Amino acid sequence: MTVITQVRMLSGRRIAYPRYNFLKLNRQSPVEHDTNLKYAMRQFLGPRNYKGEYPLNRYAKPATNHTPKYIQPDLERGRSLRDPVTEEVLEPKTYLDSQGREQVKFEPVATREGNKSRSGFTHQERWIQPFPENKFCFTNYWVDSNLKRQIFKELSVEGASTQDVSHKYGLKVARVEAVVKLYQLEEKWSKRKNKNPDVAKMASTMEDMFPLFNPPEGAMNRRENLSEIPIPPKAQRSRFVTLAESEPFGPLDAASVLELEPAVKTLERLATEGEHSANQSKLSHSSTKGRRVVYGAVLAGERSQFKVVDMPGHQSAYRYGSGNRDNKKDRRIAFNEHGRMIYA
Amino acid sequence: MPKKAVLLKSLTRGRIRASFNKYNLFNLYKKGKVEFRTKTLYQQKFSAKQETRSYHGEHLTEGRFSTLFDKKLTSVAQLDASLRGGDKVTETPYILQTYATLEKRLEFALFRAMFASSIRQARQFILHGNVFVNGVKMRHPGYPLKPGDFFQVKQDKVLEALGAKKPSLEEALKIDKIQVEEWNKYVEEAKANPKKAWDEKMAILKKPDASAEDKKEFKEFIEQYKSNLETSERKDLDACTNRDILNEILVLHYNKLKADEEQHLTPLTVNDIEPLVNKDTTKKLSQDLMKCYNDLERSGLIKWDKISNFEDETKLKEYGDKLLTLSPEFKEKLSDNEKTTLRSANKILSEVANKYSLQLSSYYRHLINDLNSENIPYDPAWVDQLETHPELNIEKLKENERKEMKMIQLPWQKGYTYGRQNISKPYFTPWKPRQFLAPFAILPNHLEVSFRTCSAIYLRDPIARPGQSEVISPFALNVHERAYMYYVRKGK
Repeated sequence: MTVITQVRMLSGRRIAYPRYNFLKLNRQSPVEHDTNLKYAMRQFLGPRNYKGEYPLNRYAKPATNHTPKYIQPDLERGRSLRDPVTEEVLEPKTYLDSQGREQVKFEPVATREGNKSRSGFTHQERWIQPFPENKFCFTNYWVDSNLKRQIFKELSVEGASTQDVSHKYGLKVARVEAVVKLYQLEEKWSKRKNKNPDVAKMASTMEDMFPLFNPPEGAMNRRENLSEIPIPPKAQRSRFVTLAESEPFGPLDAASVLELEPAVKTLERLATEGEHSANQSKLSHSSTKGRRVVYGAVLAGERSQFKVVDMPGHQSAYRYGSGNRDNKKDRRIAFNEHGRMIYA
Repeated sequence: MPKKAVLLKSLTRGRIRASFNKYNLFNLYKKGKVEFRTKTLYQQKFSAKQETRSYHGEHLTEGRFSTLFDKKLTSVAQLDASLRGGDKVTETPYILQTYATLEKRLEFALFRAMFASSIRQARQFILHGNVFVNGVKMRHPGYPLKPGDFFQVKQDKVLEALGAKKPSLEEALKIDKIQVEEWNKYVEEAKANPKKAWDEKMAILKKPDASAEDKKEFKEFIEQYKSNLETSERKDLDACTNRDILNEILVLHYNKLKADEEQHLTPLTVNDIEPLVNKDTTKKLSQDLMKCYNDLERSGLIKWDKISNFEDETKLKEYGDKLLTLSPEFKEKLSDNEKTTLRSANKILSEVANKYSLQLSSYYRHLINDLNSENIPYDPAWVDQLETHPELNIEKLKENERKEMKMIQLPWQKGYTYGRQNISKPYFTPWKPRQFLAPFAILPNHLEVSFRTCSAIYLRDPIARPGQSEVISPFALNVHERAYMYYVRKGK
């Protein structure tokens, strides 16, 4: 006879306790419904004041001075509380009050200086790394309003091309274009009469939390890498080509196997990207096809003028007989110019 | 339809969600490495998928997600990599692009741009018609953004998402009651011990972590203080002549004699004279002044019978001028002894005035230098500005908040209940950031954000490059690897 023993929950479905040491509850009366996890969270947050704030928790207030405050449970080993004035590290300690009940108080403890882990190793970029586990994820750098103004001036007043500005500051072309567009919008909004003062406060609070792209010392390593090109999809996998021994195989042959375009074309595409690019005028002439538009005559007493635009039939109405794939499970969708979903 | 939101912030499960919630922060904080050691390959893949999917599009059902999943992972090559040399090129985390396809959805972009505090809130903003893409109202959370798309959210919604929670009237009144009590207690304590309260205040203001607003206030305070110092220096230097000092001595002398109603004989002591030269650090000038005073007294010219009729200060001043200038008519009336003592008194007086003016300028120079290092000297008069607040009539406030909120006149909260300056707004007014925002404030690489206009531009689909992935994810490479393996499986 064989006995089958089933091991349930082998997948490790267990309670997600913190990995660091924390105070545990003593035996308590069942009516209290307190758990060690809730207790651990209280130790993490620290005491709550009458306004609902956690003044001792170092993550409660927004980061200031363009220095992010990302979590470092591995470096500080679960000690998230700081004295708000002296900035000493605080740790929860239990004591018995006059009625013999256990209470928690937060006392300063001596810690090692700096943000060093147990092994003494600190990642160089750790201060801009938001998640301790993912060492490939970093926050971006904030382009401050002075640099935005400078870029806008160079592009629109001095007539520089996006490529020049991009090269000068080390910002990608698309980002330079976006910075200019948003700067123009900000300027337009700043002249509005009924501004909400809360928005300015919100914006300055948020902007203060991110590291600066152009710090006062002028560190050069914050530049974006401008030589990046998308990896051609065919180049991501290994390819096997049968060749005769005598057949020559050079870079051009390799490019044709991987379906790569010539470098000249890639470079030209990079140079003509964006609205303010150097070759834009040449490009715009060649790319915009003339679309036929007919304006109606404005007769006496009429308030509006008709504009008739040439358009493919299926864009303005349902063309009888056209397929709509309505028997398919996942029909392809698209959005029209009014933001409504349509079946493509 | 999104998945039903059940037990999203459970501490027991400890899953990480795309949300700024404080429970989520604690779950993130206590999270260790995802454990694979004791698991079979399928278990590893399944638990990796569970963990990552609870963050990446938790609201999407598995069926919906599997139609979105793209097994082709996008990345870039850096053309200058060969110039840097082979060894320095770091690994490209291709596999972190597993969930990159979700990042182009409008709801995700909204959350990444920090215009919503969670993906579910971002969906709500979109569905309620608060979001515009390229100027057109977009009500579809799954709208796929293309590079160059411009999107914008209504400002009130962003302020609500990033701001502290607006308290209900009852909560606000409860807090205000405590605030008034605390303020009154503070005023009492400060009046009892001004120096201690001042030191504590300065320690808080000088802290590097103090809020920008506090710092600004502190800076303005210092500027004001500096200009006050300059005017008071000018005033003090103007008043530092032998004539002014003599006048002050005479006024003190007169008052003291007058106070001694019977004999009018009590002379001034060093302690009485000291305040006249209180900014003298050497403490020698007061003794010199005392010598001068003794000379004057010895001359008998400032005895009560001679000055008793100078009730008005101007008359006393005129008499002092006479003593200083020694006009020929006045000289004639004096004896030789009187003349010599008066001369020696005058000599000491002019010496003191000279020395004291030097002392004064060095004293003020020292103070201003101190200010440049942000050290405000203690000013005992500051407690006089503090006033206790009358008790609040909570019942009246509850009945008609709009009318009665002027009752609250705390120095930092004038004319409104806590967090309810603008009652019609759905967020805490005047706006303040929500708590625990800092760990979640991650500026994305694939978006350019403008908080002043609550708008952003989608630059590109997030990519992977050597050493970095633009997809924001709390999970390590090995977890993503197994999740990717789960989704590329054959026979779905």
